[in-house]
Amino acid sequence: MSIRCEHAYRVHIASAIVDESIDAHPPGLDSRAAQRFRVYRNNVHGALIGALSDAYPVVRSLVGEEFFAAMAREFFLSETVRGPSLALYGAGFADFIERFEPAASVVYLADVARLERARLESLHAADAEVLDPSVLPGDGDQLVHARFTPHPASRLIASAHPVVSIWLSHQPDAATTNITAASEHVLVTRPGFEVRTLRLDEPAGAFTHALMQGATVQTAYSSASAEPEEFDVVAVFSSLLEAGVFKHAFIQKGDWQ
Amino acid sequence: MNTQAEGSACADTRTRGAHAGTCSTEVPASSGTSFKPEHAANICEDPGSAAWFEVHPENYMVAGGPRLAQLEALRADYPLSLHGVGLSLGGGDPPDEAHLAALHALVARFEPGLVSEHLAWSSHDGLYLADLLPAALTTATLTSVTNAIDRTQSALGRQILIENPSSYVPRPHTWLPETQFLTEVAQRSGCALLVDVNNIYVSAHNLGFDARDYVDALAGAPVGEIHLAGHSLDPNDGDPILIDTHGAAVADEVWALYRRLIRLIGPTPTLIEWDTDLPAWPTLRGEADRASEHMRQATAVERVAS
Repeated sequence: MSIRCEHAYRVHIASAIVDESIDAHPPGLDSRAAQRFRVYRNNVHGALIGALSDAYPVVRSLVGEEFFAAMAREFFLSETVRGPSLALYGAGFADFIERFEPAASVVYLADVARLERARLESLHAADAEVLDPSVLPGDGDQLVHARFTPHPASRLIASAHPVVSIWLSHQPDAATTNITAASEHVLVTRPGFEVRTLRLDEPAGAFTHALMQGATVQTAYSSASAEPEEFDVVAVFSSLLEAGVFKHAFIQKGDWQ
Repeated sequence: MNTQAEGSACADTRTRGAHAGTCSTEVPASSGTSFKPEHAANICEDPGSAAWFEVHPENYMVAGGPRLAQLEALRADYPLSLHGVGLSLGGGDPPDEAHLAALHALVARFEPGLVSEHLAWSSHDGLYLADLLPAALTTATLTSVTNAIDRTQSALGRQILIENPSSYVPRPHTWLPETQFLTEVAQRSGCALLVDVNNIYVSAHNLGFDARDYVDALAGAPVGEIHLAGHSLDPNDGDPILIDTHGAAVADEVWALYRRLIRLIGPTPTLIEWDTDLPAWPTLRGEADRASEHMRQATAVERVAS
């Protein structure tokens, strides 16, 4: 074996692991050893594809096992940094899918991946009590000046596609439904240890987004830019409180005298 | 042990704070299993069926959520072992400081009785390769592995154990024998050894050495833990090899080697690893019971002999 130093040895093995061409194997190995070397390559590829597969089950189900594995392989081969814990592996997968030409015909695929990523991040986010609605001022004139800090497990995604409806239709207990083209906002929360996925329409999504960015209720309401008959702010606001979107409420000096 | 106590795996983890560390820290010289969330409910209905549990710390390197809460609940009832796969001690470089810090946080929180890693490398140039790759068993690696273990032990403030790998590809003749490499590393760094008997069996088959000689060479080595697992035969195009799958029952030949090792080193914490094709809890529990029985028999023989 002509290995001069340990570093060169590892460089060769690391490249042989990613390069699947049959000739790619560490130097000095006979063909029999090279054939055995594929155990490592299979383990590495299997572990990374498996981790993505666990994190993106609906994406996998939308494109099928084989396509998913090929797409996952292209993804991890494009990575330049990968940490030693796979618990939150696959952060850039949705953006990768968006640029991945062979998947371009499934226009909503990247947004479904964003939804699944939001759920994974929410699951593993820091624990915190959700906002207790009873601490809010009962007086509506005061409440409009309130601002909120989002709960660490809350995520909101705006999509031009009916991503929540698509995601719901791929859940194990889903009823068959017709999905109509519409933009949907995805709200993900984790008030206890269970992740919730909620669908918001355009005004409710814009309102929630503004609140999560720290706007007052009043400002958030105007950013929803909807007619009162299209947007029941009271109902939406209480559903947000119930879902546990927020951790704290506060009224900034100057917002209200 | 009262498994209904506040903080136990059987309480509702959603309604209370957890109380890690209410159970003894020390991993006993009896049998435990890998902990899989799929088995949590069975373990709670079958208290004391395994004496201790082991997890990969990398799976728990998250900020919060149900996974950590579940481990905290388990830890309230059982001693725990953290078995790392991500430090890449055989990679030539010092361990990643961020990874060490994350591991240290878990050690501080869960107070594991054992913390172990592998004689292998798994990261290269900032990319984690998600497998335990073979370290070059040279004197240069002996130094770099010893330094990496030193750094790990000082960052964690405790001793760690190093596991022998399963091997598939023949080695250059210039490499040191694995047992010599491991015992030398232990001597230099003060770490202990985790002996995976299935890995010995798999490597012996694949590299063509006598597994019994390997076991015998461990006499006097500081062995703190034993792993047992199942393997499978891969036809590999006319060159059959054994693959360490952690997906089957322990083979008879591996039990025989295990008894040989126990006779040599005495009762030692023994783990049944099962990671793929996960069976129902009674099967895994049954393997742990078998390990206890083999350990008892091997020790009894030892007593008769002495």
